[in-house]
Amino acid sequence: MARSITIRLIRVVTLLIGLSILTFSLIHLSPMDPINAYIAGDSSASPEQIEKIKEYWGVDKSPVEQYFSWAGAMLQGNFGTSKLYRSPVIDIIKSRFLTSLALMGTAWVLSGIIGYILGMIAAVNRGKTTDKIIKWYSYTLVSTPIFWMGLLLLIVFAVWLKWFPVGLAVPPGVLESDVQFIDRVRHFVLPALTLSILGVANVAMHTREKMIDILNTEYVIFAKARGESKWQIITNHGFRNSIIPAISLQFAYFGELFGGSMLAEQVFAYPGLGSTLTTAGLRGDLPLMVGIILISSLFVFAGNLIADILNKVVDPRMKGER
Amino acid sequence: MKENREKFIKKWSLSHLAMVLSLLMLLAGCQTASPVSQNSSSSPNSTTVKEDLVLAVGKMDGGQFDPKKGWGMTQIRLTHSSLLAIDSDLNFIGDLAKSYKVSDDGLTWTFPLRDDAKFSNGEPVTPEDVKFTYEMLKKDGIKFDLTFVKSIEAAAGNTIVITINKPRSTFVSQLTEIGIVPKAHYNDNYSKNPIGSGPYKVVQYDDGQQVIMEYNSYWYGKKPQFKKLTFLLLQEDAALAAAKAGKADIVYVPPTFAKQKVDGMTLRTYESIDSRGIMLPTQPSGGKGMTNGKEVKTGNDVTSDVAIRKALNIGLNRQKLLDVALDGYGKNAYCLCDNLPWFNEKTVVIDGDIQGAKKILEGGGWVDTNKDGILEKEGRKAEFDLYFSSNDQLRSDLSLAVADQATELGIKINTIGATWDEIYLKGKTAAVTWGGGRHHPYQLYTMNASSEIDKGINNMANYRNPKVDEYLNQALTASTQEEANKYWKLAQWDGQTGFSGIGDAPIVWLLRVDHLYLANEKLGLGKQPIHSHGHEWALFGNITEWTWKN
Repeated sequence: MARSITIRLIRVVTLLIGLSILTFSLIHLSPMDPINAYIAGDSSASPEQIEKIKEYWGVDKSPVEQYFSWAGAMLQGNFGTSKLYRSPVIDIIKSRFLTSLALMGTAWVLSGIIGYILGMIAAVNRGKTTDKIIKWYSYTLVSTPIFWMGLLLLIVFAVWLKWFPVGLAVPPGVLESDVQFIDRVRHFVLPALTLSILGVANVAMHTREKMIDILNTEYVIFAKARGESKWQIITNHGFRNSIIPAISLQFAYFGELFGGSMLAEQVFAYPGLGSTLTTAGLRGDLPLMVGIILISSLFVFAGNLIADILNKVVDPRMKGER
Repeated sequence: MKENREKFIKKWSLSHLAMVLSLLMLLAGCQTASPVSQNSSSSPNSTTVKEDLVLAVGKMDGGQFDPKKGWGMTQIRLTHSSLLAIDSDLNFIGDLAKSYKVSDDGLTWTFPLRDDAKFSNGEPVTPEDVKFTYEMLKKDGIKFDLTFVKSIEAAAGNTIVITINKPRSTFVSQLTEIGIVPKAHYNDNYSKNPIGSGPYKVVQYDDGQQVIMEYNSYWYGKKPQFKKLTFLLLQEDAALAAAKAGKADIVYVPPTFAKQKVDGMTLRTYESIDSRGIMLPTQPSGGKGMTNGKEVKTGNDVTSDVAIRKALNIGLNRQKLLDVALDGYGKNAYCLCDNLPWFNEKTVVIDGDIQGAKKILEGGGWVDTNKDGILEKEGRKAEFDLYFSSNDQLRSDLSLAVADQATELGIKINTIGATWDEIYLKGKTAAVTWGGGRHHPYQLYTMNASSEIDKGINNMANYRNPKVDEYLNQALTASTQEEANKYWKLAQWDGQTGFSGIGDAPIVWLLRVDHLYLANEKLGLGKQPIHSHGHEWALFGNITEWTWKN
């Protein structure tokens, strides 16, 4: 166990170094000019000013020099300063990460549980109406763009029914100190729902397949022959065997979850990490972008790591494998 | 037995569904309760005047109330005051300064300050604060170009004296754009707690979500009717949804949304100087130049022929372009400054004149020799590329419509959508769908003076005309506004030459975008000045005149 953790740690460090180099290279290869993005088409900047900006941001140096000066600061725990916000990257990430985490966490738990249950129900009722409905629902959702889903929910629940607010994380016009917890929940529901609805389909369909496989195995036929009921078969044989792919999928889903939250946050003007990354990317704010990319890859890596560990806990046979 | 189990599962799934539904209902229930409590706290009885507004007018991420971060490039009026301001007739009037005086040589500007101006924390605005703000921005040098400012001094009698290196009549416009910050409270965290001397103060800024402003009780000007403003930082779709849900009093809408009907709201249309046109390289190909500090190729053998540029100016039908690109929500443009005090009315032409345009082309030597519908001259086809920003709906519609109309003149335009970064690199060798328009004439200088070639993205057409340069310099160094305006007009057209469409036409200006808002029918927005490029804050210059009629 200790050895595999050490290997994992080495892997994550190399992953982060590789990612930061890749991000730096991609930014430098892209036609995007951070100076242009910063001036934003306003023609009043003089050549002297542009030189000043370049110097201020350190983009007058070569990409390699820039990378090493960034990496040096990074080793001392300094993520650098955001060019757009002119404030420390780590502060921005800190303030945004919790919001995103709550959003993604809820969506993740909801989509996992609902998806798994739907998958089970579909598998048990294979070929029947329930199964068809669940399949239809999943196929439709899997091919639905998340921002479109968000807009639909917005129109139905916020504009027509007026059950939920149209956006933001807090009620408009209310001071931070006066915001009630229930207000936050209300603003939270639609983005979280958008995000979880789409996650459901994936888990449901994979669980369904796995469950059908299990129900066709010889040990299940044997169990049936012994007189075990369907419910007993599910609890005795189905659950343990089908939860493993569900768990792996669910933790591996961290990456997609992050991408989805980026779009959902845009639609609902929900101030999370995703919407910040979009802004940073579009405006060429390299330090902020690299910071968010590193944090989010750590997040995705953690997801995969947890999936592996949990798999071993649930299924002791996988302990020997590497 | 088996059937029972199946029933159980069916029941179970039904009950699960019911549970989810009831959870949703529960949350909905919480929602219905809260607005009541909010309303009861804000308005004890329904006859009182409405004191707060909710506005969704754009994603205003930039600036963050700090002039060093770019606050003030368009409008600062809500939270900050500046030395001068612009009234709704575009006159420069005093704000923090009671008046201003420029010495005869145009080098010394004197501003006696008003005595009653206070910041939102109650501390008086002193000449020291003005001096500090200007010196800080000059030293920073990134968002405001103040390199021509020699010194800023606080003189006796609450007066500020600014000395500049050489006369610059457009300095007056920067005096309206620079918001004064308090020396005692300004630091790198100023954005978190901005203190200004405008009619409102920022009480909360949730980055990416909303800005809450309240009336600044120390404000020295006319008291506004609204005590509180909440700006929702929503994108256009979400903003329209907010309006439909009745959550916003005023919403910015792009022309594509203008036909949307929202109960209780009316469409407000404001004329702007926010202009769009086609920038055409004026030099023959093969040259080299700079854009934003990067070396680029310059010149185009087709657009460098003045006949092509002039023919486009009178041959394109501006009204049809307006209908296609803006659903008619706009005005014709003939220069960058239509109807402003420095606009030369002689540059207005009767457009859509295909015969006239063909005559100009023929006179320039462009003839369709091989009958393929495209003109030729010395074996060269009248064909060029036109770049436009691909994420800008208006500019892409406009570009395609221009290319379509140009075929009638025998000119083939290949439209290419690209990012601005690419456009800046290619823009000196191809046409570009360009935009601009400010409340002051400095852009006329940066877009047309030969001294601006290779500086930033100024004068992308590499336009050079000694006579125009002379007029532009006279305008820039004039010591009075009237004198400056006279030269700005001559630079456009002096009867022989000029940079306008009837002259050299480095940029053929085509249309001006109306700024559209959906606003509650009870909300009066006062007399709006003609809006400038960038819609976000243009509306709020006269916030103190806004009214709510029940």
